[in-house]
Amino acid sequence: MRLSVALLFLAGWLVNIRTYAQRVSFSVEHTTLEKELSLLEVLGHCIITRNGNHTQFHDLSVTVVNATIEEALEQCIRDLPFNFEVTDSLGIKYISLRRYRWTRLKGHVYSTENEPLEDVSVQILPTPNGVMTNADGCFRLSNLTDTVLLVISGVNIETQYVRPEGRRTMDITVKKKARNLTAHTVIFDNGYNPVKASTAPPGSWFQLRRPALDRIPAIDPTSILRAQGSSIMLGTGTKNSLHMAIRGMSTLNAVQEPLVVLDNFPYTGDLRDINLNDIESITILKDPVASSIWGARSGNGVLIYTSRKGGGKGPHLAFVTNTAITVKPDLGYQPLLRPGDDTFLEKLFFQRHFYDAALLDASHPAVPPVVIVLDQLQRGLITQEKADELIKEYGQHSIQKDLSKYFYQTAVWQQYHLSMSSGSTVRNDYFSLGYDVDPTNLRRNNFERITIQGSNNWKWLSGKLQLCTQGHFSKIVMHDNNSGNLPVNYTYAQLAGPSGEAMPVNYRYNPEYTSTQGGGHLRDWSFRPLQELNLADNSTRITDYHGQISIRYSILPGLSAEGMYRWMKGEQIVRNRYDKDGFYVRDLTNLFTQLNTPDFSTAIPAGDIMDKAVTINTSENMRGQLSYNHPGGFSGIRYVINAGADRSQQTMHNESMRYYGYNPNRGTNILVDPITVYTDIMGMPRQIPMNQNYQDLYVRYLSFFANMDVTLKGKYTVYMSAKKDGTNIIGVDARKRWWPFWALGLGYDATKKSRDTLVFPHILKGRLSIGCNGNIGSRTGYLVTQSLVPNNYGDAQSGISNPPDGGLTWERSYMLNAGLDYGVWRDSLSPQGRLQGSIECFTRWGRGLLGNDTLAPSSGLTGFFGNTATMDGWGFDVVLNTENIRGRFGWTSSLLLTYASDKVTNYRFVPSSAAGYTQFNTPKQGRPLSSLFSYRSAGLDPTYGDPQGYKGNDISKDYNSIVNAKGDTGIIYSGNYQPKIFGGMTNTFTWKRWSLSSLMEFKAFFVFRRPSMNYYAMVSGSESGNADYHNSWRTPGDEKRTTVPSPPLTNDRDRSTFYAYSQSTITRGDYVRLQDVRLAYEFSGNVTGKAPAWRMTAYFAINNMGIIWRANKNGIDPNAFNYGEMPAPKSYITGLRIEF
Amino acid sequence: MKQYLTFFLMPLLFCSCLKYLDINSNPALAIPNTVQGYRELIDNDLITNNNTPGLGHLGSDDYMLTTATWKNTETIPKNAYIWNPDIFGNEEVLSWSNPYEVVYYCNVVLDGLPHLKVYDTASQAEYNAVLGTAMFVRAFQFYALQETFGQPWRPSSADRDLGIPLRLAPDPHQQVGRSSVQKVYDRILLDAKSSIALLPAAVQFAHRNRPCKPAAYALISRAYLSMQQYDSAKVYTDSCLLYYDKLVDYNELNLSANRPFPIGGNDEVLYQCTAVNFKAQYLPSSEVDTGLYTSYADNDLRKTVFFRLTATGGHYFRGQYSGKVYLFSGLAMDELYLTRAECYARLGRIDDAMNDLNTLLARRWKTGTFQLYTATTSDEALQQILMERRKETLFRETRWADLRRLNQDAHYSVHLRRVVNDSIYTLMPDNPRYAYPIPKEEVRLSGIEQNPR
Repeated sequence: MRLSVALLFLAGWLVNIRTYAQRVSFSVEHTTLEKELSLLEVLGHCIITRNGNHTQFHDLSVTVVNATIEEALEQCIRDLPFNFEVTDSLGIKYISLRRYRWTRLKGHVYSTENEPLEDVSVQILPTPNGVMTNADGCFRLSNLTDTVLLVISGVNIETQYVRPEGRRTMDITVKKKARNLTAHTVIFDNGYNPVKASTAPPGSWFQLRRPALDRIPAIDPTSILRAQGSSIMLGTGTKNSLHMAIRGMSTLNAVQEPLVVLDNFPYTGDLRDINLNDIESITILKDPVASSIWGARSGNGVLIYTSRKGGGKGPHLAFVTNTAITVKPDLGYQPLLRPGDDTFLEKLFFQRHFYDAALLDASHPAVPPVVIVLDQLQRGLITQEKADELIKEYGQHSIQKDLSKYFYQTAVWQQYHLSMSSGSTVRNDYFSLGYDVDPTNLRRNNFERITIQGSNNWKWLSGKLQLCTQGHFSKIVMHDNNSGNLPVNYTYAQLAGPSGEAMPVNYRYNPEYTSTQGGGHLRDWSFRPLQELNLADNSTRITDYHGQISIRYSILPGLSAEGMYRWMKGEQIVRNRYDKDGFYVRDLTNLFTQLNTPDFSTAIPAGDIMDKAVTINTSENMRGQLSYNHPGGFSGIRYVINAGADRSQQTMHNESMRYYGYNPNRGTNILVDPITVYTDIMGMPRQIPMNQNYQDLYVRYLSFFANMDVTLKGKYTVYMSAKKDGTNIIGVDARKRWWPFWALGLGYDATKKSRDTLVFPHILKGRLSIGCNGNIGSRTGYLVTQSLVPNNYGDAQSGISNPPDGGLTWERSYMLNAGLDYGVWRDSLSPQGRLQGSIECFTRWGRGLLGNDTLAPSSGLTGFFGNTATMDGWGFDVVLNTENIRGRFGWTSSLLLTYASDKVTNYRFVPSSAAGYTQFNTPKQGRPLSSLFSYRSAGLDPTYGDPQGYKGNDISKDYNSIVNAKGDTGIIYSGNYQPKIFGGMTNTFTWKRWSLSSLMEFKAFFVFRRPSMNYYAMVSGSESGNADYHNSWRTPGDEKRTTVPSPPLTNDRDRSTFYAYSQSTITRGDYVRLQDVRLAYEFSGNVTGKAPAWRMTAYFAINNMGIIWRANKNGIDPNAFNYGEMPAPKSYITGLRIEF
Repeated sequence: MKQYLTFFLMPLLFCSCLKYLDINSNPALAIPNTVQGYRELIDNDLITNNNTPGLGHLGSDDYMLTTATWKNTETIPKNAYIWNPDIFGNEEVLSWSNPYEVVYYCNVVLDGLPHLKVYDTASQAEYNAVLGTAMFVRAFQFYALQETFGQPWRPSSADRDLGIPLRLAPDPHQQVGRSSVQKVYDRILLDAKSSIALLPAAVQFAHRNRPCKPAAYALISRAYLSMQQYDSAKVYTDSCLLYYDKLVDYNELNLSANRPFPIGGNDEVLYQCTAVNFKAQYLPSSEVDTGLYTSYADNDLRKTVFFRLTATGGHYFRGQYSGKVYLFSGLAMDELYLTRAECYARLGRIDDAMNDLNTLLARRWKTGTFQLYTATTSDEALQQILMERRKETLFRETRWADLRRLNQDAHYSVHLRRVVNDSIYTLMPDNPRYAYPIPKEEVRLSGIEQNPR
């Protein structure tokens, strides 16, 4: 004490001291805390007891002016980890100064709506350190002093500053930004139980959200997934009809497409009824853990469409309009034989008598005009000069030119969509109206769609009771009067005469026959494509409506019960009217004309013929579930348990009817006699064709499920799911009708959460999942009999048309998935990291797949279709998103790449001949499901230009025995027709309010079979001649440069078949395509400063830009290589999106 | 309270779940759920009554082929004619798969029918008839298969010799190996005996594709005969004859008709059935064995009823009880009389034996020309009876079974001999080729043991 007084005076001369009772003023610089305290004791007549080390604080400066002791002391210890307590005793102040310990802080960040906020940055000023909140909105800090200032900031919230002031725990409430349309919390929606992405089960999934959904407008809500959805492949473009596949194939004969779920329940309607503008997100569930809840029907993966709901404050309006100009497709893409060559070949083949059979056939089939001319010449009906002249003239016409001129057009597609959403704490609403009209590239076709969607969400009892209702209505009207193709295959057909009149083509009958038959009593029997186009009246109307209601009640904190119900009805009416002047009616009328009756009566009533088919698809879904959500708090175990049951019924009703003598003005029709067998004009027995069908189908599903998701300390996650599914369509044996499906997932979050260095800028999470999902085919397990004509004893008898299979059950699809989610260089603007994505490996194995089986003959069955096949597969997915440049000029990229391969491991059926593999794609054990098999080719014969194959190991031209060779000896595997690698890359550049983005798509490791010159098919009229002919073998030596055979000397079907399915027509399919480019400019309310805030995006895009690189040298787009197909034409789109 | 209510309501919502899935997914698919549905299946006569193997006859001595005919004939009859070790080549073996398809139909009926509930007596009778039919038909086909592909019944080794696979359930994936000959016969007898109680007593005159009680007795006697258990065979023949004993008097037949017997079955037919057909069974070029033809007396009407002259001077068989060109393989009364006569003879009751034989033959000879057959010893009786059996039941597939049985007794054994293409083929009594080979496809897929050839 004495020492301190001495020190005080020592310092005193530096200090200007003025004393008032109980109030002090002083100013010191570069001193220690101890000195300050001593000064205060002297000046303030107080006693300060010091607890804790305080000698370390040097170089302090303080200025106090006329302050109380307390105020002065506060000034002295500002920013230092001390507090004090004052006690007054007999006029003397005893001050106990205590040092804090270095603190730890655990906090939660909530929104004003009391929901925990994730990925909010908590930065400790003045240091650069900070942490991010986890899914519970929780963060932890250590080594704090209470002097620090915390900055709470995030993409979606208003920045807030908070002082911890020495507290150990705190809840911070922040305001969400009033509206932020670009960034949303990512919700993992598995269709049952939406949760925040960070608390999703450790499965494999990918979500497509805005703005990706808005890139390019589309009618079909799946086309948006092309190159933008991870692991999903659309339209393989090969002979398989497969439309979509997630991670390759998992089944041979069951449903091959992913299950589509729209808002909680499987969607059974027409996908085009879903308006993409009403969709909030599309989630692709790739592995059994993500899709566990769909068990039995999710073997091919699941697509979840989540529709937009109301939200935010106040009513918001959004208006979208798009106009797309789709250019006329280039018909020249089709590799057709040049008309001049076509006439030449027909002449050649006529001389070789290939057409003799057709010319002599009693049914008088159509033959090309050149053949008719040559036939007339041969019979001396016309002169050589006339024939030459006619043939020369034919060679001038081009079917492609005429088709393009009269059948195709440039189309302008328009889309309008208006939506309104509003929200408050007790109620959210959404309502939208959409209208699309697309006249399509084909003349006289049209597509129109109206969609209406609405949803409400009410909350009562302070949010404990929630009621959601949702309604949807859509109507599609399509006119389909033009197929874009002609039923004739000579390439010099002429559609219109010089003055534009419709010209006849040689279709179905030989015109020589039709023009002479009936002695003038028949109706005109010629087929004029242009007239047919104008008379066609085919329409399809699809009406779809569904309503959904769900109630959720929180029984206890964390425990809630939920019940939901959806009713859905889709009605499709297809109406095809054959005009009385159209070929179909004229043809039938003529065929049924009775030549031997005095009045040449016909059995077909005068008037139109109308076909009508109605399909009504009704489905009803119901679900009840209980869920318990234990939030876990700071250090505890967070867990979620769900359990419930689900039942659904789908009823499909089909009926079709035909009306003869239909009068569209009066709506009347005339009955015909469909039973009498008439003798037609060619003397063949014929009944009046009817088109009657009536069918009902019922499919029911019932399932029970439970799952549990446990997270330990936010680091370890265990997910378990079990499900039992049953259906009425399989399982005579009630035990086989039910099947358990399960999934197990493990997650580990290796992201370093250090207490010392407060920021670790990377994310690293591992996932491992395994499980079993199912698939189902159309096979029934019941004994089905078919009635036959009475037996020899006059008794009713029947045969077994479907052998019973008590063992028939679900196909099982197992998958093991290992994934790694990474994020590097994360900060508050990129909470997932500036370089971020995932890498996943999977292996899958299908068991009990439906397949054909060869059975021991003693079983009594020659073949059997049951759960006999197995298939294995494996692959990997890469997702990589990067923020390359940030700032006024920004550049982000996103890459999706998937590798998926499969192999049929057990398939017992072996076709009787090689054609079973080459032409009919029978699965082969040890090869991929989508294999192409070919006849081994030995090039062309150098003398005749004939294709050569192998018989055993010898080169052979015995086409018949090669084509019909037993088993698989004569064939080789030529590759896979499904791309093994596929994906897409998006690049987006932004500058001020401009943004430019492009989407690239690639597919690799696949082959396709290119159509080539098939002489037999050309002669039979089933195919046009192919431009490959121009490259065919002409003279010896040509075999070195070409594989296209010479025109045959005999009309040998097997020769053409052999070449068409030989190695020579296998073509590599790999390609890189620039799918689209989009330039957008964004206006917003801030520019003008007007209230309320508004935003407008205007954009211009070009879709289907074209192929950048392809592996084939034939100029073929592997998405359109089949006979008659054309690549999707370019379209120029302008669009506007206005939001208030 | 409200909260607990929810818990209780949830399961209620989903109760009766099993019933929920019981709905038929497509009403257009006829899933048999009535007795009538199963009746229609078993009444499919193209399956049920048309498919005994038909191979035995091809190896028998009932017919002969000229070298030219033989050369042009189909693979299977061609090989069977000369008892080639390989019979089937690469051909599909309908003689194996078709009988088993019948077995499959029977198994489907036997499997499905018991699930039905029957409420009134009329439908109970129909139910019994259908169930009995399926049992009978299965036993009938098993017998036919056994006598073609199984080893012959040898009393000393029947429990070791390999018979045929006994498919007893419709599950096509069931692995079924070959049963012993003993087991096969046990099953045939069990099924046939079980069917007796269920089948109608009267011969189904208008529906001879449907079996009746006498037919079941006849089948059992046929089986016991093959098992050389003559006393049992006699007992069941007796039972059959108690129900029905009618014989056709050949004098009343219209001999000018192409086929003297009606398609629906004549009065002797208890159960109508034909064999899997091969052209070699019925084309006129398959001539009746000359020795056999000449063994008929001129006054024996069978000589005219059964045969027709071919263009080349031989004779072909036209006396099928099927009424069609196809081989009759069903059950008929004449066989019953012959069986009982043989049993009596073997049991030493010579008078009874000759009485049965004469009852039959009296209706085979021209009226007034028949003289009673007599015998003094069992052997003498047996010789005559077996000769008449051969002459009466030719072209019926039974000859092969008879050969397999009779050959075991040196006294009655037969040496078969063919001359084709200047080569002579013989089949000695103890030759293993009396059992046809199992089709290769069957051996490959079910791994069952092949017959030694």
